[in-house]
Amino acid sequence: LELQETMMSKVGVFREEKILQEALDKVHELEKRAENIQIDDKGMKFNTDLTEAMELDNLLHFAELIVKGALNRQESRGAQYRRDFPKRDDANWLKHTIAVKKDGKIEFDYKPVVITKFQPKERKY
Amino acid sequence: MQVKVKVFRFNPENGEKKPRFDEFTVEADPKEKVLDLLHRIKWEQDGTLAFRRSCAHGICGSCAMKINGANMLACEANLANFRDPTRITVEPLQSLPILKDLVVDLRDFFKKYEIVKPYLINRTQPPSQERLQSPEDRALIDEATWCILCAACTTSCPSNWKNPQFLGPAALLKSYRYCFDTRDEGISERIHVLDNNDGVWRCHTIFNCVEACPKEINITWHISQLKKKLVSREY
Repeated sequence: LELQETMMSKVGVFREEKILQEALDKVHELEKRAENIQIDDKGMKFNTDLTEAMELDNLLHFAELIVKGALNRQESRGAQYRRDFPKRDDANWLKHTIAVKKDGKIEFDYKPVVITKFQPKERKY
Repeated sequence: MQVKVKVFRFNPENGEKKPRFDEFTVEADPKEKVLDLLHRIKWEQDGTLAFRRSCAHGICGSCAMKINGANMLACEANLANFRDPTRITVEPLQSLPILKDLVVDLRDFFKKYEIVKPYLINRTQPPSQERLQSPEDRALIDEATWCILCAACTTSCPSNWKNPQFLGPAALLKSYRYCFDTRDEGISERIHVLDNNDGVWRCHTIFNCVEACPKEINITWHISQLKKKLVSREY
């Protein structure tokens, strides 16, 4: 629930650095707390307690990824509007980000965008 | 407000022979839904409670169950809509085998669904462009497309309780959706499944299905349209 509220309010469409950093701290705090998870249901059939715990682990991984990615991309593009970087920055950021988690640390790699029919132009409407 | 929730429990894995009702007291707001109650019980009191849920807003059909004796989606069961919102009884869907607590085995339900051939059947060559359909023709099958396969209807049907071989409202509704689709040509293949004792004719217009349907589809009306079509083909 706390993860849900944090992601919704701090990592939505409108983002800024300070709040994203708060969100990241929260995710780290939740990851620490998640180490002490206890599962009531010890059964092997339809154990939704267990599946929810496993889903939480996945959610935390992805949350960290999303927040780090949002912090990393210091521009506004598409569904991300950085209040601190409100314009689109094609010179630096016209690329895809590929994130990999190696040994618990997230690394970013980049791939160029394939431009075919439509040239990127400034959005005016 | 404090809600006393009686929940059906059964865990065959523990070697239990008989089910039981556990009673929980949960704090809830009258604006909340029964699904919120179940989550609160699971997360705060008893993590072993098993139930299906997914979208939590009335479109996936996972959380269909019997609440205070009536079939409905737990995520749409507003506490304020109950006569006494402080006493809620939750049970799994009737007549289906129970896997654990509120989870039932839906395999029979889906098997009946597949029996009616829920796909487009054509013998002529597919056209080079889309098969066109007028809005009036589409309106014929519109209501039948709203089904979310929650199984609330079929498990509320007394005909189905007594005759488990009965295809049931959901399967018959889907059959209607294809039989009356102007683009479909498979009516002769579907007829023999419908025109027998466990097909449309087992429907005795009890209307429990219409009451239970979370999408408010008038299933019984659709089934009687199928009956009319079968009769008019014969004569």
